Amino acid sequence: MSTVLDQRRATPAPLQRAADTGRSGLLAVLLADARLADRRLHVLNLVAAVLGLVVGGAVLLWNGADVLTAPALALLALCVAAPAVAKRRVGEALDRSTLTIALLSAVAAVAALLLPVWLYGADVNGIVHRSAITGPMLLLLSAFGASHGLRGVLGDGPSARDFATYPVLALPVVLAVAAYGFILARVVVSGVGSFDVSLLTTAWTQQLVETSGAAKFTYTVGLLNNILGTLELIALTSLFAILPGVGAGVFMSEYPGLMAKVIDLSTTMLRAVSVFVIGATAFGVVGATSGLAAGTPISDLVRGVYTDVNGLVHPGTGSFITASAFLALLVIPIIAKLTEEGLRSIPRDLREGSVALGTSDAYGLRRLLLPWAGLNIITGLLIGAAEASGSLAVIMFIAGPGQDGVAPTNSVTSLDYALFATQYGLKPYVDTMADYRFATALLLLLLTLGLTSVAVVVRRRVARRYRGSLTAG
Amino acid sequence: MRTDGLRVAYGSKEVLRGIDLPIAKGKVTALVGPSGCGKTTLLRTLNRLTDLTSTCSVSGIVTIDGEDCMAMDPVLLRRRVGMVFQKPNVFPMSIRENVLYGVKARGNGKTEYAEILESSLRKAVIWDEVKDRLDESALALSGGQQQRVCIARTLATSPEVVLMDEPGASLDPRSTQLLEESILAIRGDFTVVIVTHDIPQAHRVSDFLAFLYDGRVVEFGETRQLFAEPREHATKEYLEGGLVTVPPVGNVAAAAVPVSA
Repeated sequence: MSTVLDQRRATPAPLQRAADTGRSGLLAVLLADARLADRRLHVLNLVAAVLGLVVGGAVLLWNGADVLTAPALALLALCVAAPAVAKRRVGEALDRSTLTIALLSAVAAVAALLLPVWLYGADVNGIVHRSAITGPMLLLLSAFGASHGLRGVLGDGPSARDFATYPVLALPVVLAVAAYGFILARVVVSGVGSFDVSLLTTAWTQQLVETSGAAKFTYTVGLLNNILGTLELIALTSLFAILPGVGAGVFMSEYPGLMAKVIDLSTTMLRAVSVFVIGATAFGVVGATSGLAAGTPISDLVRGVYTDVNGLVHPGTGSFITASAFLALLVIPIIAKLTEEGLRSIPRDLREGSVALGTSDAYGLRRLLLPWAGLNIITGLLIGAAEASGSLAVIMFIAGPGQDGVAPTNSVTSLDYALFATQYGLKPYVDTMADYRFATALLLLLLTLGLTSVAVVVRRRVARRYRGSLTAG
Repeated sequence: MRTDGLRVAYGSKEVLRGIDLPIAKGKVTALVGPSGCGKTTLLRTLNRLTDLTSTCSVSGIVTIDGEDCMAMDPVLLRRRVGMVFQKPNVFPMSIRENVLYGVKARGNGKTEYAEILESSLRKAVIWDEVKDRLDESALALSGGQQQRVCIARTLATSPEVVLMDEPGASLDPRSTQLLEESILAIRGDFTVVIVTHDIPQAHRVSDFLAFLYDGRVVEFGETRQLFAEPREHATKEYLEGGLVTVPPVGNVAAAAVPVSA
């Protein structure tokens, strides 16, 4: 081994190869230390690719950058090809992937120059359409170019190859994070601007006021009931979903057979059902009780009650209980699947250990299996809660502004509803709340963020407690 | 316990082909034999863990104190016939909860828990190592300690028979030594059936020895005698070198050896 290395050191391979191929003169001198020359060319390649990434990003954000697309692609094609050509001249094999990237970049440069103009014209509209194609194209090719340049700069070993996949993997992530960042920034900036502490402490209500003989509505604005309503929906939905969810999961994992198959199929199908269908069904169920007067138990439970400005009690449009029951239909499959997965992940020897101690299945389930799957169940609950707080479609048809309060039998309301009603101009709500749209969005965002943070913390704690050393050891 | 004409098959593959084996009360019986000869299957049949495998079919007779094991409630059988596995399989809970897991399943009085905890950990020769950290996770223990907690967990339920499936296979020499100490300590109070690949270990800890080959008991007898003068050539080969070059033929009756089963 060492002798081989020594020999290599004695005669630099590129020089040897240059001599072997019989090249001489200036080129041979220039490429005497071909590794260095290569490396410089690779740096050039990397720079061109990074430039391509910058231009690509700019093209997506700013119409003025459109003219730079074609030159950037052309430069990329040249710079990617350069090291490959240099290598070829000293007799190394042609790197096909390099050539592919260079060729694609060249074609893309021509396409960016000609096709979109031909397709869309040269006006602003054309530029917008064009950049939607050329921007991502440039970004993608630049990412591959950067990957290639990085590989060359680092010396093309196995680790260099691993490291060089970084740009290709990072690009979509960066794009997604940028998109999220954009949305978040908009919500936070506008939300903070329109935020008012009184939104948290007052509920939206309307009053009938008589002024000089004419009755007129006045409004108090606020989001208190929407916030409380969202929390209540989350709590009630979790309550309704946990037992059926865990039960279905246990069935699917522990009691294989026809029943388990039926449950498995139903939960899968339930997940595939559109939320709008569930929402419409909720609306239908509420409608089915329309003949009943307020005060009847079924009417109060399903429709809820609402008190009008004159103090008269009417059946509502749908109670928190109804809304939660239908939201639970979304959450049950999530909990069921996660419970099943959790139970299936228990090592076989732990199950056998429990059985061998002369314990019943029910005892093992209670003491060993469910605590083990607890992590999954909690995750399911939290994902479910986030789902419940964000599934407007389910309650859209039956929700109201929540002016009567948030008892389980009051008409359902949530932050989602406030967003929906202002966005779609439901009167009179939009007239009073339009200014607080972003504040509402911000609150919803904070709520989801809070739930997710709790999920992360809980998961970590439970994971450490139940599985930590088991997976480590 | 004893088995008569015990046959076990996984699907169409017969693993045990008629086992007649007496297991002496209060003694240590070792099962040895090359890999795949059916030792572990035999062990798992004794407490009906084979029930957990749907493809497994069992025929023949297994009795404990004359009662038919196959007709019993399997949960009740396993309370009388406990098992320690090849790999330590402590539960993800505290040492205390591990040891009391099986005890609590029977709803014994709470007052006895502390006593059961200490006595079974002592019998498993691990009390001194864990007495100050009973509420720590059992997963934090070393492999050898975990295995002894598993033994304590089994002993805590005071079974009549303790099955051990290569309990020292994944342990270091020191842990194996402590394990053997534990086996010798509980001999007399419990009937022990141990599967092992470690022939010297079988020699050290067992009173009776059964040599299995290809699903049959080739030879069974007192350990001392089997090591001193084995009747079968294959037994001699295996006990001396762990290899069998000339396979034995047929099933050799074990009834000649007087054992109070």
